[in-house]
Amino acid sequence: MATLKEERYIGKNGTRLETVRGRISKLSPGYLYILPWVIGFLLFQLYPFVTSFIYSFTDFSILKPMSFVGLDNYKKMFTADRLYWTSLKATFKYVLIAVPGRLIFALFIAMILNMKLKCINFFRTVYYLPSILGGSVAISILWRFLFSRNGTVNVLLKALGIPPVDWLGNPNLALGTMGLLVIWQFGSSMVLFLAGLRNIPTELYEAARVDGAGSVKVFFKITLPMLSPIIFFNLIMQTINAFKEFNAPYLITQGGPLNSTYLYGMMLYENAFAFLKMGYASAQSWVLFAIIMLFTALAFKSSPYWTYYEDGGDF
Amino acid sequence: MKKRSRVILGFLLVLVFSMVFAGCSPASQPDSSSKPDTSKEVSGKEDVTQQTVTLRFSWWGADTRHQATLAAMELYSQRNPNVKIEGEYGAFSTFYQKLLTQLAGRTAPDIISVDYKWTHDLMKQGSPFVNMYTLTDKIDMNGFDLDFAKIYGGDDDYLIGLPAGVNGMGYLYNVEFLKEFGIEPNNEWDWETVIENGKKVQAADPSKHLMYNISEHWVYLLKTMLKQINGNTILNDDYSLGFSRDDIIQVFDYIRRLVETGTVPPFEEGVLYENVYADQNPNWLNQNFGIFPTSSSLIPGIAAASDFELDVFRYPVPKDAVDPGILVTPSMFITIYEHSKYQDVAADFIDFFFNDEEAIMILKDTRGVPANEKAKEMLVREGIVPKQVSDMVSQSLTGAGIAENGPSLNPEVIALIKDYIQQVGYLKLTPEQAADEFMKELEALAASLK
Repeated sequence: MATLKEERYIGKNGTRLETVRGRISKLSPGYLYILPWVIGFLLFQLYPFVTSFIYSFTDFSILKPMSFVGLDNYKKMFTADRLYWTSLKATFKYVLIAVPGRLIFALFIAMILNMKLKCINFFRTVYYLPSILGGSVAISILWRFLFSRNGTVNVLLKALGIPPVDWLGNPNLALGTMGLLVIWQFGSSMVLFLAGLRNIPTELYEAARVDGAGSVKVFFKITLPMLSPIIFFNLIMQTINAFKEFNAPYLITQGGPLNSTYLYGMMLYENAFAFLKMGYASAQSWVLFAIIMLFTALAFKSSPYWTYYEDGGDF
Repeated sequence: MKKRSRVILGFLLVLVFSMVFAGCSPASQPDSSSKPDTSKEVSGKEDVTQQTVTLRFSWWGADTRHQATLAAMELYSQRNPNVKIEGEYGAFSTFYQKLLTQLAGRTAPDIISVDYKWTHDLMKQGSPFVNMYTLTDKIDMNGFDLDFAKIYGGDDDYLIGLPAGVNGMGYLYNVEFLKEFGIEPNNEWDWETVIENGKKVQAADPSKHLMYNISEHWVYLLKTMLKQINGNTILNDDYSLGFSRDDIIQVFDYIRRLVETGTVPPFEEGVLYENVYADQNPNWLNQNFGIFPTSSSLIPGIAAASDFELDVFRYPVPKDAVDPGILVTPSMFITIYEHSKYQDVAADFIDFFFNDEEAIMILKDTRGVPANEKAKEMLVREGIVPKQVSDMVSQSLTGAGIAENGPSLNPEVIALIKDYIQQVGYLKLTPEQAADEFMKELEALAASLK
């Protein structure tokens, strides 16, 4: 005898469409497959996300029991932290150097690698290499040596008769030197640009050439507009990454000299792990989150005015 | 059916969250008083004679220390085949941050090295380490001067760990370098002698400098000079300032003169190596600098890397100093984590580590001149402690200054001092400007730390 529940799954012509058990067994492999991700997400993203929000209203200091302090952490950040604005300023400067620098450089290299040259695949691999190495600690340390007073860069300059420069010791140059490291790791943006370039229909170029357009005009009137969705994507991803930058200042300059590379990530880390102010650091990370959200929202809002989608651009 | 899959999903969520909360909850302690719990006794009562025990032991330092420590651990395992000890070692600069993360997640090693600079901070936070006073029956502490240990490691009721060595501050110098420039190293130097000789080096060879300071040492210099001027730590126990405007102007002015006379390299050059010791500074290794102010425990590592003769002399003390000011501290405290499952074994290992004759001969002076008298006598008898190390310790003991207190060792206070030293060193602020701003900020910071 069919139970009530099962009856619902009996079709009009009397055939059994599906049993409950059958349906679950069909679904469960799906859940099973996504389970590692779900666990990872809950453990490493949602949990820290929620707890850090709670911590941001406390004086949590890792070892001592915490107590709630209301909005004190947020107030202190804007009014009583001597380095907060310095750090914020350095971070914005860094974003302004690193993001456009990296996008322009990545696009430039992608254009070169899009040419029909011999051994082009070899060169594409070679140019991608810095990105594989780039995030590593070793490269940041290598950067220190390259740009130190007796480093390779100064040796090359000396050969050209230029006096040595304190790339990382001069407060006016340190941030830019660090920016170079990020610009140098252009690989992932470059690959996306390359894919975008290869997707631009050649007939557009041919038509433009027939109409007598020069290379510069072709670049600005065809290449750039056709690449704009990819520029948009890269812009958002790179901006987020630049705001969160931690490795480079931590490993290369420790935030110095004169706090000129004391980026937001570095300040967060110091407050949390050097000064034991976890609650305060959590509040700072939420403000950073808000800043990143704001910039992302602005980019999305502005995108209809400068991105071009062949299909109208609905997402 | 939808209901049931929801139930399954709900169950999974609960499972995951309970795992998360169990694993990641902050290490809260029921007692919120700032004093460490003196009743923290050894609680690992498991019978460890039969089962296999794995202990983790963490420390920082140079390669010579790593090798010696690993060898001592190996010897202990040979004698106690059921005990395996895993070493966790690395650089000093990131050690404390890693330790705090481990303490937060309750994943800290069983035996932990703790620097004297962190003990006040950790004790203020409730100190998750076993009280050493409760282990007198398990660890032979007769060779230790517990009065010295408790200056930085606790009080009459609680002791965070046992000090591994005695560390004194002094000047380590390149013998040939000083001879080349006609500089006479002796124990009578004051701050003016430093500058006179710094000028001498610059006059003969502008590419060389008498000395270089790492950022940590700049802080010592400032604190020591203040102690010599007025006999106080930079912050008093009640968090009030331990110096006057004139005092700090005098110190900042001296720092400026060190830079302007070329006694030390310009900050633009020096800043890149401000966090590494002389053994990793190419300018020291290439003999462009003559003196490296250091604590004695670092000498073996630096000597191993330096391809030239080294010797030591006493840290500068002015004739009219109120307090001689030289820093003498324990080199590191060896502690037992209160959540360790095998505290008995850890205590047994520490006893072996400090008192076993074979272990003493393996570890030698890799943690400075041993704080344990018995070990020190053995090493001196065998002629193992290098002359430079024992000389620096005894020279510093002739001018030992008042001990640092908790407020003066606070990491935020140290960060603020470093900041202002850079402002002066980069010649961005005059000593007077720096003094005014520094005092204002230090007062505000001290108020927030109370």
